[in-house]
Amino acid sequence: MAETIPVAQDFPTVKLVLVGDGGVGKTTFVQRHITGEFESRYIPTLGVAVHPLVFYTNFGKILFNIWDTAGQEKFGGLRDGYYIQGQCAIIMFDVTSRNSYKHCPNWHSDLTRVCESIPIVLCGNKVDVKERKVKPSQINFHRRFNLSYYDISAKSNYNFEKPFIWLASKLTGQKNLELVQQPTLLPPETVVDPNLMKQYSDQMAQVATLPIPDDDDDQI
Amino acid sequence: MNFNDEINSIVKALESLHSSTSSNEIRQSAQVYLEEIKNRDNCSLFAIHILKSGIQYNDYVKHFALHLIENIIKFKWYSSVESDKELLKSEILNLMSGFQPNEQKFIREKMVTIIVEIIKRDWPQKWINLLESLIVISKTSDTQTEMVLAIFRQLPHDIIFESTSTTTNNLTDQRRKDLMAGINHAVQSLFDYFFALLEKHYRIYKSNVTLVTNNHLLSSLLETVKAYIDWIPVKIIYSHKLDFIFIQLLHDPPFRLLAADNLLLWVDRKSRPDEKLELLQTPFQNIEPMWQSITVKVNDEDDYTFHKKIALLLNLIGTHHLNSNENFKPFPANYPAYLKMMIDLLQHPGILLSSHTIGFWQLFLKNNSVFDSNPQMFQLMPSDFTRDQVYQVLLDILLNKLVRVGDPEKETSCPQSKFSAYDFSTTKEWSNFYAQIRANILSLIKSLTHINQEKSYMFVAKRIGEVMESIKPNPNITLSHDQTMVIESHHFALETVVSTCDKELYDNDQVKKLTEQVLKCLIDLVSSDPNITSFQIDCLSCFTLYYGKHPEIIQFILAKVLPLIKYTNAQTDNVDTSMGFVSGISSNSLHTRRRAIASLIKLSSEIPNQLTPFMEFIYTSILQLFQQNLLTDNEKVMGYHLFISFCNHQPNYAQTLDFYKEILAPILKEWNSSDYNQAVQSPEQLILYLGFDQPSPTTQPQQQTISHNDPYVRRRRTFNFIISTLGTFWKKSVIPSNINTNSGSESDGYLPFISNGISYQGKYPISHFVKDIFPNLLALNRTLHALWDPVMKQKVHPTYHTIFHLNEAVLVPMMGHEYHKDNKTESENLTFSRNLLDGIRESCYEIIGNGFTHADELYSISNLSNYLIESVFSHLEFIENRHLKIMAKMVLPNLIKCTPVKLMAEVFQPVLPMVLTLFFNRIKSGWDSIIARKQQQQPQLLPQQAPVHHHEGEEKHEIVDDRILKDMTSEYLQWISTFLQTPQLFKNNDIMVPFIYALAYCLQTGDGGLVKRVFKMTTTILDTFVDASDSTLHKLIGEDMFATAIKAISNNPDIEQNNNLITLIKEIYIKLHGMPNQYPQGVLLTLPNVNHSVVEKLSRDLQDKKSDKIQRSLFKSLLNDIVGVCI
Repeated sequence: MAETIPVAQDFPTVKLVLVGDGGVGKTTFVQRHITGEFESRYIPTLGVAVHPLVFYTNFGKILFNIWDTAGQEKFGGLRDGYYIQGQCAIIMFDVTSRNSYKHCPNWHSDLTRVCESIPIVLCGNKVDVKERKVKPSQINFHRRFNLSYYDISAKSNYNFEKPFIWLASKLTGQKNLELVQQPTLLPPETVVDPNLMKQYSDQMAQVATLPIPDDDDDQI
Repeated sequence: MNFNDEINSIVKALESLHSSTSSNEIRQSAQVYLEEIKNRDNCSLFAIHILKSGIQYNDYVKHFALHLIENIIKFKWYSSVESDKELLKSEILNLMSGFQPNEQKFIREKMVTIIVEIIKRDWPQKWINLLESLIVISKTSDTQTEMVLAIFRQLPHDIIFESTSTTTNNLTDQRRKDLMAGINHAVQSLFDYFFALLEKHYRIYKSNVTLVTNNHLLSSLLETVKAYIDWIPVKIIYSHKLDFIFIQLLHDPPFRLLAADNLLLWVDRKSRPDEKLELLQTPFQNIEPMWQSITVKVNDEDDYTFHKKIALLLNLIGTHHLNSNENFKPFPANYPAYLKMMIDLLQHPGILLSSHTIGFWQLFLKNNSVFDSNPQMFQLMPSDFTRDQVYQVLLDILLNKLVRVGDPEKETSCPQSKFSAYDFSTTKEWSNFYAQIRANILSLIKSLTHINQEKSYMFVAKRIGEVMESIKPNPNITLSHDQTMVIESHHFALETVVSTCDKELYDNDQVKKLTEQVLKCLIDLVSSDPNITSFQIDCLSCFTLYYGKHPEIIQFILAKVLPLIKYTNAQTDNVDTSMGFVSGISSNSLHTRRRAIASLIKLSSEIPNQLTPFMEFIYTSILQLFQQNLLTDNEKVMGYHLFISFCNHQPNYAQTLDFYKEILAPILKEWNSSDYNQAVQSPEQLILYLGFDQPSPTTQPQQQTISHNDPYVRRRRTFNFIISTLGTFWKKSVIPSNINTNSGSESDGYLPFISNGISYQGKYPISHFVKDIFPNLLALNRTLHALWDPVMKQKVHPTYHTIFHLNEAVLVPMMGHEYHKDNKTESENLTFSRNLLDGIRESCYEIIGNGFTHADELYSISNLSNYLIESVFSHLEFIENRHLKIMAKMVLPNLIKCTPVKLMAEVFQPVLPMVLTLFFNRIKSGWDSIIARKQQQQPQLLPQQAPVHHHEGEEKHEIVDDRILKDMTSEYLQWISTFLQTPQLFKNNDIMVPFIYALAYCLQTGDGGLVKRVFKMTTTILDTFVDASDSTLHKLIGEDMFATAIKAISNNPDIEQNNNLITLIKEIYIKLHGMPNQYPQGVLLTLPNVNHSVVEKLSRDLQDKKSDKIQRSLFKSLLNDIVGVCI
């Protein structure tokens, strides 16, 4: 069971496990915040790298220790061993890679086997890329397991803070938790089309009201 | 470092790794150390030691120990020595026996995964006593039992479905066979074990139904059995009476869903018909207990979920029973009870639940003739439940089901909505589902009508009469949404029943009498509600068979319908004709008006002879409406459609021509006016005439209203109307259906036409207008093509530049999103302008394409090819692929099909090489860029190989462009398939070179559908057109096509496509290798490692082994083993 962290305590520290296929942008996403650099090259993560990230909310400061795990088994590491004592998680896929979305149930099942009932966010990265392959209407997997979902773009900082706010809100049990200070991010490398993003979020909202299809794979 | 120190170091490294206070450097060095431990030969010793020490270590350490073992199994198993493996297996089983209930679930599951992974590698041959050991271990405690059940559950899944989330499963075929054989051998004892567990724990359940751990274990057991139920030998199920046990478990709420799942798999498993009937015996005998199980209540939603499962189950039982009952064995004695259950389920208010029965009812009605010829089958029905009564009840239910109610969002009070809310969250989801179900309901109504036309017709007609009678006292009532849905459903039912009946139906006096009554009601009632009026019109247009027999009623129908063409509603419409056209009519009223014209078009095409006496009257009446400007542009185009429908049934040439001349006169006058003559001559003139050089008055969606006073807007509207009418005329005109080809009477004038010394099956009353329509049409087509020249586009005002791009209503769905009008980003004016250009282009292509079928006039034009090159084939360098696609669909097929043989050389030679080359270039460049992009997007395995990032501009619309390219390629292949019926083309080298090049190129696209079509077409060409005398075609196929097919294999990872390609290579080689030029052999000799002796051996082997399969394998092994292409 996920621990509920007391908000009154200064600096609650949370172990966040970041998983997903190799190349979906996990390391880029976390490094975007830590070092402020967008890494356009793909350098596979070996095992795990832990990045601390602080958020200032209306319920106080919260520190996420982000366990950025290797997406590819061949790069070694302890795989699901890193998930132990995880308090929350982000499953990331790449909206331009159908396979990376198809594998999300596997990541979810591996995660929940080790950490039962922790809050998990599903994130579709690279929404700034025009040739999106995984459409909002096809993203249903998260609804089977009551996960939250966000379109994100590491390249443009789009929705960067959203997954963390949702997780912090779940962990603290404070529904109206919000940031009082935006995280320090470098200027975006690219600008997302606000109309397109609105369209995506409208579609996600619409899809959220549909019954969950039996098998996601049929649709993508 | 000694062993214990090493263990301590591992523990410390794990502590450092997992500590939240460690730096990344510390973690990194811990990871490096742990990776080094993983790679040690003796790492299993650490793992065993840690796991044996139990509570001494925390979960991090225990998990790492299990991870070490998993790593050995996955990556080192086959290189390990047998004694080590045996030791490890025995230790693992010992460890499992010692697991405590408080052990973390993920540790237990990791152990299960490890055992399954070993089983997949060693069992049964190298782990003979495994099952016995596991069964013994399972007796230790519930913890062990659950783990053993989990192993047995995961095993078939991993073998049959290949992979689980944590495993990289690469089982060889042989291993898979061994494992399956092992399971089959062990399955009897496995099920003995399951059965014993079931007995034991069900007894505990009965003594205490709330014991959670016991219920959980029983559920685990049922989940495990589910993994076997649909494939193990049936005798195992019978021997334990598991089918019967599952039925009993349906009454126990904690297990009912899993029991139903098992039964569904059991009933649905593949079997021979005789086996199936045997298998169905127990379920059928026990349908009553199954039915009673739905009376056990837990909560509404769970009960409904279970109810749906029972509906699925009963449906499967019934359909499999009917499908398997080949020898018409007597039906079970409780069949009537079964039918009653299925009727109850059909009329359940939950649309999803009731839809589960449709499959059965379709089959039941389809088998009606079987019941006719075997009346004894129905003797089992009790006297109060006759077959006719079943049908009557069904019809009644189906009519009610046709009423579109149950929206989960709007109607929470009705029972349908309550259940829809469980199954669907939004109106749209429900609505899409309901549309599918409605089609099925209509198909059932059709089947019932086939069985008994009179009864079905009387039933539905009576309902229509009742509806009318109920409205009669208050005809001006405004129907609610629900009421409108009811009358709409009745119209659908009537339309379906009547379209299934034959005309003898109305010979029956009762039918006739009822029809007259219903028609009287429909004609007499005058309502101000547009929905009621539309319903009346729709119903009236259903009785065409009756009107055919009783034409005297037509005058009353027309008297009713004709005035409704200009229907307006005083309350909702604010009609304005001051601008010279009608506006201000509500959409409901517009719908009614369209229904009125559509019903007349239906009557004129279905009973033309009976309508002929009224034609003049209808024509004059509508013409008046035209003249008084009481119709919208769309209604006028529909009006022309009606007139053309009249023309199609004129008795002779002269009358047809006169009528055409009369109705088209105002259109042609406008079309050939000096304004139009000038406007179509050049893009500049067209831009000026339509006002595209001026700024658009509106560009944003919120600026919706088009100013009708704007002269350019009016010009565009008229232009659109004229071209739409000409298109409708050209498309809807057909050779009269009353042509008498046997009599050969010259008076009708419809005999084949001879012109230029060639006989045509022409439609010359229509093509008489070629000279009136074509000159401007060809000019307009040329102008449109030239307008896409970037230089010309710049002459259009920048606010209009967007009209050269795809309409967002088309674009957005292509991008995979749903399009809503509300999300529109441009003004109505811009959308209309774009649609105008797209519509004009489509009409031009359609008229020219259809023009080839009006062959007499067109082919008498000398230099036809020049005209074509100057119009539809002009400025092709600027044409977009989406336009080429339309051209390939609308213009080119008829050009090939209709050009007379004598004129082929003259027409084709200047045109086809140019057009085929254009298509080849577009297909090649388009697919080349897709292939290049795919290669760039291959996973980059090494860090230094960074993926190439596109510029945003390059990425833009790639999805759409690719989709259009694929559609265009597909349309192109469809077009060139018409060449196969025209052998003359295969003698022309100028045509064949680009033809074969493009055809061969399609092999490289990697698109399964396209490759398959090219394969079929090429084999036909090989069989029909290739011979030794035709050296060019011989070379094109034997060299170019052959080489491309080989290249395509090396680029293509798709096995199915490669099989087609191998077959194609083989076919070409076999067909051509004996011919003097030896082109295929030449291609093979260019491949790596292939020399003359290899080719000669292949030829010899092919001669020796004639079987298709072996010949294909010869090519496969040549490419695979010698050339090194990985297939």
